[in-house]
Amino acid sequence: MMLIHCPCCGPRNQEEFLCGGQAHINRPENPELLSDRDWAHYQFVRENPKGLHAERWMHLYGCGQWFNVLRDTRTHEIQAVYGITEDAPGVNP
Amino acid sequence: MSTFDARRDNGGRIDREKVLRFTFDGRDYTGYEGDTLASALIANGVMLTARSFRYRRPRGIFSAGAEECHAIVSVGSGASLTPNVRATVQPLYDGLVAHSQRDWPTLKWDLGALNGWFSRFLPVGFYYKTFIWPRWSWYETFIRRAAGGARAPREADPDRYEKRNAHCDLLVIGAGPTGLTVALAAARSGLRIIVVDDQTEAGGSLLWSDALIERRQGTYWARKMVQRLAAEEHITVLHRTSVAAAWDHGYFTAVQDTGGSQPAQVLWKIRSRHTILAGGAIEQPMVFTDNDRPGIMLADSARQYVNRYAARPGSSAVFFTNNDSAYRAAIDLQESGVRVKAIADTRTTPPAKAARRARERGIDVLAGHEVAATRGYWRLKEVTLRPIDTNRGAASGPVRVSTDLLCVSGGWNPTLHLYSQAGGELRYDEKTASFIPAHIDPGRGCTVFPAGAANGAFELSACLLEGHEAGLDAVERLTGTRPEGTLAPSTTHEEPYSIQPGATGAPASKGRQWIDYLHDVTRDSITVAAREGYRSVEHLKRYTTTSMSLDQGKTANPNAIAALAEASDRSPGAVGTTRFRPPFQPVTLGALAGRETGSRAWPTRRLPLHDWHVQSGGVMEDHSGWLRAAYYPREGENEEQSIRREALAARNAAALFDSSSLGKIEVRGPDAARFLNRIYINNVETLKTGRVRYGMMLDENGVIVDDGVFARLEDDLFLVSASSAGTADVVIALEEWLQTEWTDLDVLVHNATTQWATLTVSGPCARKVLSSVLPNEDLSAETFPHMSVRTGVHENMAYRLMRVSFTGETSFELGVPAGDARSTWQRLLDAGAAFGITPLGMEALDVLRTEKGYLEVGVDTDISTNPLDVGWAVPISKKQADFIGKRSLERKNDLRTDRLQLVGLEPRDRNGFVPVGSQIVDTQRAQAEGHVTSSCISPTLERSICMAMLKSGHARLGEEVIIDVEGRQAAAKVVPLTFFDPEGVRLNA
Repeated sequence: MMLIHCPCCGPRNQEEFLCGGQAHINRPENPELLSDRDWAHYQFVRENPKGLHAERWMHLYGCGQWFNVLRDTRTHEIQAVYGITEDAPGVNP
Repeated sequence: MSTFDARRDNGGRIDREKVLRFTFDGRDYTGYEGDTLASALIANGVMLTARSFRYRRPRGIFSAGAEECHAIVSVGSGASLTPNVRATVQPLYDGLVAHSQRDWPTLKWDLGALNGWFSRFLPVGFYYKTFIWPRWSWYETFIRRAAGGARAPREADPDRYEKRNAHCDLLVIGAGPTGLTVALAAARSGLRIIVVDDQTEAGGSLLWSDALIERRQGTYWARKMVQRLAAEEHITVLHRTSVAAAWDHGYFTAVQDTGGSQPAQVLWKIRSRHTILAGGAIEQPMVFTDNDRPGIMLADSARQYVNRYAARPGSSAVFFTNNDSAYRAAIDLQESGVRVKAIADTRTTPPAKAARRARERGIDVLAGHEVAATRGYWRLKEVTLRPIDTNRGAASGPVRVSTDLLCVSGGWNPTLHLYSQAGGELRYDEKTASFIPAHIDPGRGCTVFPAGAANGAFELSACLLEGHEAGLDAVERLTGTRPEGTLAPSTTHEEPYSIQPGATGAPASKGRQWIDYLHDVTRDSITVAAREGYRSVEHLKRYTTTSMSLDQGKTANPNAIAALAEASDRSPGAVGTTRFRPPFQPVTLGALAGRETGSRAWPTRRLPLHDWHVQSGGVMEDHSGWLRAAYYPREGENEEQSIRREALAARNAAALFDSSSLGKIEVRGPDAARFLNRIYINNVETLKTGRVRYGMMLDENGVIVDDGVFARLEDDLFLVSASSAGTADVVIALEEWLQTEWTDLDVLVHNATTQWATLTVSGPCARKVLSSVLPNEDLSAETFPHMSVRTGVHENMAYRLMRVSFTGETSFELGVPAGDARSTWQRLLDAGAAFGITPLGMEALDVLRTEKGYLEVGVDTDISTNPLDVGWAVPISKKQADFIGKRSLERKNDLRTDRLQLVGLEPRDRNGFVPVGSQIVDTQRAQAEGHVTSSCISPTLERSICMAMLKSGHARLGEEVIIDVEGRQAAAKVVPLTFFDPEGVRLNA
C-alpha cells in the first residue's frame, strides 16, 4: 500500500484515495467536431509506461481534493505531487 | 512406531515440569511446554504425518520451521478447526487436537496412493493438457474428491481477531543474532524501532547452537538483549509474529499469534521508514531418487530437534551433504545419542577440520559419495551410498546402510521473500551457490535491506558484524548522524562455510527425484518442461506448479532453478528467480477479516424512521446499503397479500412512503445552471425557479449512470435527486468535473442526503392528507401542478415540498429535517387515518412503478444501455448544447435500431408470473433476443406485466415473443412501456 502525500492532509495510506487514471487529458472543446476515432482516442486510449506516469488521485476518505501525482510504475516511487491544473514538474530521470 | 526413546533426558529449551497433553489422529500423546507439534510428535516417535498431493506418498516431518513441506495438518476441531497448519511452527498447548489431511479413507490406507502407481499417466502439465473444456466437467468431481486437503469448518469461527496499525522508523524482521545486533546498534538513537520475530523466544539459530556471544551462551545473550531492547520506551519487540508481506512504501502486514488467548491473532499493519530483513536462510534439500520418504529430513532441522527440543528424530542417522554445515549437525546428533553411521559428502575434498572432528567421534566420512537409493515405505529403513565417480578407482562399490533417519543438506539459501516482494532484485552468487540481494538501486523503490544470513553471510561472526553495520547505516540514513563508540558483539565461534553444488544426481539415477514435495514435482517433470520449451522460470513455475503450494517452494525453488538450468544448459543465475509474492507464510482468513465480519463487514445505513418501520412490522431488507422496509404485513397476511394491499391503497386512497434514502444533492452558485446543463441530457438552463424536471446522467461513453429529478429552488440553487444506490458516485462525478475540467465554473456541490428525510404521500387522497398537515399551503393542481417545488416553514420547521411521482398517482414528496421525520410522519399518519392511509414498502412501490413503466437505472438498464434504448431520442434531439456522453450517442453503434430496447410485455397467461432475468428467445434462431428486467402481477390491472430489454423492441410493438420461463415457453405481447394511465390523468390530478 502506497503512502500518498495529499497536498491538503499530508501523508496517508493509499486506501483513502481514488485513482483517476492518467493525468493531463483535457475534454475536447467541441466533441461534435471530432471524428469517431478521435473521440474514441479521448475516451479510451491511455499510456501504459514502464517508468514515470502522471496520474490523477483524489482523497476520497479525506478532503475530497483531486491532485496529480508523478509515479514510477516500476518502483512505485512518487517523485512529485502537484496541483490538478499544474503542469508536471521537472523530474529526476 | 519406533522402539527407541526419542526424548532426551535433559537439555533443550523445553520445560519438563509442564506436561502438555495432545492428540494426533485420535491417539493421545504428551509433550512439554516449549515443544512444537512437530517436535512433540518426534519425541513420541511419530514420523508419518501426511500424504503427498498427487501421488499420496507417505510423508514425514522434513524441517523444523516455516519451510515445512510435509507435516501439514489440521489443528483444532469443529468451529475452531484451522486447516493447513505446519506442525513445525505450531507451538504445543495442552489439549491440542491435530489431524492429518489428504487421507482418504485413512492416513495409512489412502486410495489415492494408487496415483503413485499410475504416475506415468500423470505427466507434467497434465492438468493443462487434459482438463480442457468440455472434458473438464467430467474430471472435476473426481479431481475435487481426490485432491482431499483440509476440510474447512462450516460453523462461524468463535475466535476473535484484531487489527493494529503501527508506525516506526526502523523495522527489524527477525530476532536472531543478526536482527538483535541491528536493533542494539540503533537502540540509543531514540528512533522508533519495532523488532518482529516469529518464534516464541528470540535468538534464532542460537536456540539450537552452542555458540558463545560476548563470552556468554548465545541463548542467554539473546534473552538479555531482548530485555534491554524491550526496556526502551521507543522499542517494541513482537514475538510469535510473522511478517506475511512487504507492500509498497515500507508497508508490512504481520500476523501475531497470541498463543491461545483472545484475540487469537492480531494483524499488524506496520509502516516503516527503513527495514532490515534479518530472516536468516533456509537449508535446501539434496535431489536424489526417492528423497521424500518419512525419515528424510533437513540436516540442520534434525540438529534443531535434538538441541532445542531434546527430541531425537531417529535412532541412527546417515548424512548426505554438499557443504560444510551438515558436519556440525552430524556431530550434535551423535552427541545426543543418535548413532550417526556415515556422512556422504559429494565433494572429493571434505573440509579437513570438520571431517577430522567427525571421524574422532566415530562417524564415517565418505568423500565423493552420494545416496543412490532409499528403502522403506512408511519409514526409512535403508540408504544405499555409492561413490559418484567410479573412474577414480574408488575401492568401494555401493554400500547399504540400515538407518531410520537420513539428514540432507544441499546448502543454504537466503530467505529473501520479503525483499523480493518489496521490489528487491536477486543475483546468483557462485561462492555460496545461492541467490543473494543484488542491491541494485538501493532505496529507490525498495526500502528493505537484508543483513546476515539473509544477505548471504552464513557464518555467525559475519552476521554479527553485518548486523552492527546495518544498524549504524540505518541510523545514519534516518537521522543523518552515524552513532559512534559501539562495537559489534564478539564471538569466537568458528564455522567456515563452503559448498560445491551440482555434483549429484548423475543422469544415470533412476526413479523419481522430488523437487517440490508438496506438489509432487520431480526433477523429470522439470526436464520434460524444459524440453517442451519452458525456458522462463516464471512459465516453468506455472506449468509444473513448482513452488505454488502453501510452502511457496521454500525448499523447492533453488533446486528447481538448478534443474532448469541444467536441462537448458544455462547457469542458475541466467535462469534467475521468480518474483516472490505475498504471503510469506499462510495467513488465516480470520486474521485478514479481523472484526469486520457479520454485521460489521459493511456499514449499515438506517433511515431516520428506522425504529418506526421495525415497530410497525416492516420486513427490513438491505437496499443499496440502506435498511428499508420491503413490506408491512398485517396479522395473517403473507408477503404477496401485503404487497397487493399496499399497492391498491396507493391507487385507491393514500399511501405513505419513506423515500429518505433518495439522494439529495445541492448544487449552488452563479454557474450552477450552466454546470448541470453539461451534466444532464435534457435542458437545465430553461428550467424556471419553482419547477422540477426529470433527467438522466450519462457517462462519457453514453451509458445511463443515474437518473432522477432536479428542482430549481432558487435562481442559483438546484436540488438534484439521485438514486439511493448512485448518490455517492454522482457526487464524486460532479466534483471530478468541477475540480479537474471546468475549474472556471463557480459552483458548490453538497451532499445533503442524510440531513433531510423525505416523506412521500401518494394517491387520490394525498392532497387532502397533506393539506391538514400544511394548512397554509395551496396545494391545488392549478397553483401547484405536477413537477413543481416549494420551500417553506411551518411551525418553525423548514420544509421542501415537491410534486413528483414514482407511483403514477398524485404525489407529494415532503422533505423535512431528519430530526423532524418522526413527528411529521406521525402527523401524516394521523391526518390520513380517515382516508385509510397505508404505509408503503419497497416491494409495493416496485409494483406501482412497473405498472407505470418507470425504469430503474441498474435494474432495467445495464452498463451498455444508452438513453436512445429507453426511448429518449426526442428530448435529446431537442438539446443543442453539449453534455457528457452526447458525442457517443452519435456513433453508428449507438444509433443501431437492432439494439436491446426497453419495452413492455403482456404475457398471454394473465396469471403467470415471469421471473426477472427470464430470457426472451428467438425460437427460429434458437438464441436469446432479450430479457425481462422488471416483472409483477399487477393488482390494478389484474394481470402479469413485464418490462424487458428486447432486440429492436421499439419497432416490434404488437408482436408476440416467446419467454423462457424456467424451461417453459410462454408467449407475450410487446406493448408500450406504460401499462397504467398512459395519459397521466391521475398523475396530474
